[in-house]
Amino acid sequence: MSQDVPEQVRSQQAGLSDRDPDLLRRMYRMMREIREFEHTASELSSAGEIPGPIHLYLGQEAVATGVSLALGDDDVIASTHRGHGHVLAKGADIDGMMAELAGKETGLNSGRGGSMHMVDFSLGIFGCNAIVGASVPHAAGAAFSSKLDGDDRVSVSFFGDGASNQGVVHETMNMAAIWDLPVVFLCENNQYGVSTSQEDAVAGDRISDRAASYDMAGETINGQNVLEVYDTVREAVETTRETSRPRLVECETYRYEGHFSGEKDLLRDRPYRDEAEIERWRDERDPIDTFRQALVAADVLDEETLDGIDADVEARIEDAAEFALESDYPPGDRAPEYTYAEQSYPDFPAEKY
Amino acid sequence: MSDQSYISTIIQSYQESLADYDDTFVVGEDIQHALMGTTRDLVAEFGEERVWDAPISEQGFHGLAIGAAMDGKRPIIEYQINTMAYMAMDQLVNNAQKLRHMTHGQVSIPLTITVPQAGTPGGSAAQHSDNPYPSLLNLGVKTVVPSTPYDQLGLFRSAVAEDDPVMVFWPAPVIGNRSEVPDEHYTIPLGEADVKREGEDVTVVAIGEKVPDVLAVAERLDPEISVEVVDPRTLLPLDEETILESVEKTNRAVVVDATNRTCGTAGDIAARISDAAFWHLDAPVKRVTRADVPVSYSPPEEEFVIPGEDTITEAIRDVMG
Ligand SMILES: Cc1ncc(C[n+]2csc(CCOP(=O)(O)OP(=O)(O)O)c2C)c(N)n1
Repeated sequence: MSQDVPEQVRSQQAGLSDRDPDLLRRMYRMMREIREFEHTASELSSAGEIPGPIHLYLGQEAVATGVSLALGDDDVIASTHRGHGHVLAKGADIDGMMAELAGKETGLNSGRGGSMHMVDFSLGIFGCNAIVGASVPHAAGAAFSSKLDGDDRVSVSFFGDGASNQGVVHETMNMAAIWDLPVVFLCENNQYGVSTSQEDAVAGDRISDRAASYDMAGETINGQNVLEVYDTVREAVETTRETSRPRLVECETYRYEGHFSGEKDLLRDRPYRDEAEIERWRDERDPIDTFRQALVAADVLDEETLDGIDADVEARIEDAAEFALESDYPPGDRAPEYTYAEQSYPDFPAEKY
Repeated sequence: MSDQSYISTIIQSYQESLADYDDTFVVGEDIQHALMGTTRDLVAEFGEERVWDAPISEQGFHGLAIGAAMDGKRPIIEYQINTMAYMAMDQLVNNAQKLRHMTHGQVSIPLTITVPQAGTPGGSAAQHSDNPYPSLLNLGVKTVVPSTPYDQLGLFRSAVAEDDPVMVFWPAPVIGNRSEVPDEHYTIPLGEADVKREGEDVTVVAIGEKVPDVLAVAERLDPEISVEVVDPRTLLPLDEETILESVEKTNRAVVVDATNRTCGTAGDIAARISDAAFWHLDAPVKRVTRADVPVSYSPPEEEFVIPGEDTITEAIRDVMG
């Protein structure tokens, strides 16, 4: 696979100098932000500052970045349990995200949702979801609403290779197809659903082949190449916007870390993939390193500028961590709030005894 | 006032909702042709854009309605059969019911979910004969079970106006009934029980399809035993006050509900009465429920499982001592 190294860089380098440098800068910065955010989240988690499990997005940065930059502000995304990258790339407040991970009052959901439930409806972020596949019909529902309103928003539904086997995902693709809903099904095939390899869990060669059953276009692309993700998704989104036909885009990608923050303790000496495989993806197909090499080789951005972005991002994420740590926890007796639209029902039982 | 059938109030409810709220649409299986009779004439009046025939994809269309609700719509879902709600349990409970809380109030899910033919349609056997509300109540889903046309219309108007998910169960055994319904607009707020019959000796709390049975028993026992019949109408929120007031007057209580006994709705209401009105009670509170087994197809077996007038009479006599 070693000839892939130059190939992965070369493919990104081609035509780079003709592209908008500002867009390229934003791509690099966004991927770096996600990576740095995840490293910091991981540290905070190890330090006991994050109450629950987190599912790191490390290795998949090009997907969220390419997709988000291909979307307009009004477009909608619905995300998964591994949603930090999606939410950050769609423009959510980084301080609010980090504080949400820490369960603080200043978090995006005021500490109510945590890692797997971050939302910001004002930015079209219709929620991460801890139930595999559950957010897929929500994205279609937003698209359905757009259709009723006659506006031109598009919804993107992120889901994994594992989720591709959920019934609700198939139900939703069928509905999107029969009802002409402007939704792009965005499968992030990171090769594993927890410990189960997609080779063992997914029938057929490609998840994108399933699109044919639902009379929609489907394609599989290299999810480690941010430019390829951006170009493909941009075209998919714009076609969907014009035709109101759903589409399926499968991005081949890879997660570097365990399925979730506690995986090592659970699996111990029963690994499901070997280190060499992880190293191969890291060394040869890392979305940030290869993009950086391509930028430098094409003379678009120099090392110094990129280092400057790195330093800036590190400082920004450090600030976010500080903000999260310094923020207050909500008072515990706030728990019943917002269970219902009105809390005045006679039997609303806040008491336990 | 006019004498109206239960089903005509359902049709009227849908019509009013579609007319009153621009953001409302109805989605369900075979509703354009009104298979269950509940959605008759809606397409002609409001068009297919407001009345959607969904594929047989309960999780999918329930989730889609949630997504639309997140985007400011006020959807109504109709389930074809009472137990189909189980298919969408994840979307109903993990999603619709929890999203407001998980997002710290950032989103409302104003969803009305209707269940025609709830309970025992008779001869429908185990997979089509449930009142799937006890588990939903346990999970905090607002739930309405109207036993008369009058209650149905008044409660539905409140249910669609709610900014939370509300399940409306239409029990099969009462859906053919008629009652007087005012011509002028009225609503019944969620969480207001109705004393369906006044009495002095014993309070019988009866839910949904059991209300007519209990009223029939009460008539038969009169004047030997004077039975007060309380219909909660809404199970969550529950009007505990009206139930307790009645028990404090009669000093005896029986709770009748056609769901399973274990962890059932009757058990919960009985516990509330014992807890709050213990010193007013002259006898232990009795529960009349289904047997803890699936509903059989064969009529005698179905009759064995579902509590009938004999069992209700026996329970009332037992608490009278
Ligand atoms: C319906 C459901 N089943 C099982 C789980 C437990 N679970 C959480 S994530 C996950 C794997 C999901 O794999 P995939 O969709 O490929 O996403 P990835 O974790 O690879 O990003 C599983 C089985 C769940 N949360 N929901």
